[in-house]
Amino acid sequence: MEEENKKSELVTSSMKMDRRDILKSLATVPIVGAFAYGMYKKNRYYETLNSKLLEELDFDIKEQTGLNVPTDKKIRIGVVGCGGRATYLMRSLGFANPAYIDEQIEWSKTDKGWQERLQNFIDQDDMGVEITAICDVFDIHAEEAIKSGQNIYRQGSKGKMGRAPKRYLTYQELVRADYKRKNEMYTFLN
Amino acid sequence: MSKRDNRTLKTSQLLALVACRVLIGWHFLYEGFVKVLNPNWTSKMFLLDSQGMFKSWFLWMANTEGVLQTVDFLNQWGLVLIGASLILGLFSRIATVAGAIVLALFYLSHPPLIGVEYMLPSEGSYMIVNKNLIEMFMLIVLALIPTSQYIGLDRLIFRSRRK
Repeated sequence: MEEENKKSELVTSSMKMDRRDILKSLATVPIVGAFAYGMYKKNRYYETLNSKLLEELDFDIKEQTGLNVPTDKKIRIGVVGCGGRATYLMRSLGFANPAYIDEQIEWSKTDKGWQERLQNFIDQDDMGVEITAICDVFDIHAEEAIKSGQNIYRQGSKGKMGRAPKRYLTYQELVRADYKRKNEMYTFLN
Repeated sequence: MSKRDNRTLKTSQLLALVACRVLIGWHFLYEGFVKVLNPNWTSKMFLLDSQGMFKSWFLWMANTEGVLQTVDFLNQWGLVLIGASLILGLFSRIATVAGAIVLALFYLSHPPLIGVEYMLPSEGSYMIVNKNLIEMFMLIVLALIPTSQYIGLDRLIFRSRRK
């Protein structure tokens, strides 16, 4: 009888979760809380940033459906520093270098995936922006960026082009020109 | 020292592996939530940009509407569940294996091979080895050296099973 009691005591004590077990099991749970807080802070930050930007642009997003942005009042963009990053940024706005489109057309001839991507790029909605100024001390970068900026119909080198953006050597010149135009140009830096 | 003792992790080794598990979990969880919270998110453009030997398979996924919807759903919620599981240390073995499979798929669709061009810009410069591959192997390490039975909710399950 005594032996049985001892056995049952042993079983009960091993069944019990001691404090060490509980602490070690729950040790990483507070990280979920820190994650949730970080995510809330980041979302709030970008919400505030976006609402300020929309306010500055006098743009009511609630009135818009899809990318139906006003094309009569285009947002003018000046590009300072026209290296790789600017090339990607301009392309994401719908302005690709004609040589890039040529290359895509060439690849599309044998590849369905490229064909669809190119078509998606060409068919994308007008974002209501125009590249009006290019600023770079390097001639090659500036010339390529001008070609991208005027490729408003998203065509290859033999295609129809729009008005070429004006080139500036220094950002000071660009800012002065912007000031004379009553700050109608929104500049992004690279 | 017995064979079993040799296999026991030192506290510093265990904590380092737990830190890796939690950090990878954080990365997965955030990547998942970003996709879940964006109603316009789809993996279509990423899949269309695939290269390498499995390219045709990924293009088929992108171009088949039903498959694409399933892939998007699994990607979004898979990342969230794997991330939460790694952080909490709950069913971590399954999560590490699933995470490694997901990362293998990401790697195979965009392998940084020599002479391979991508339309979508990469955030770094890579040659054959990229962050997906490294993270995938770290998850394999975590699958082989499980930590959640020591630090994590799996400890509760592990203990109750042992009795």
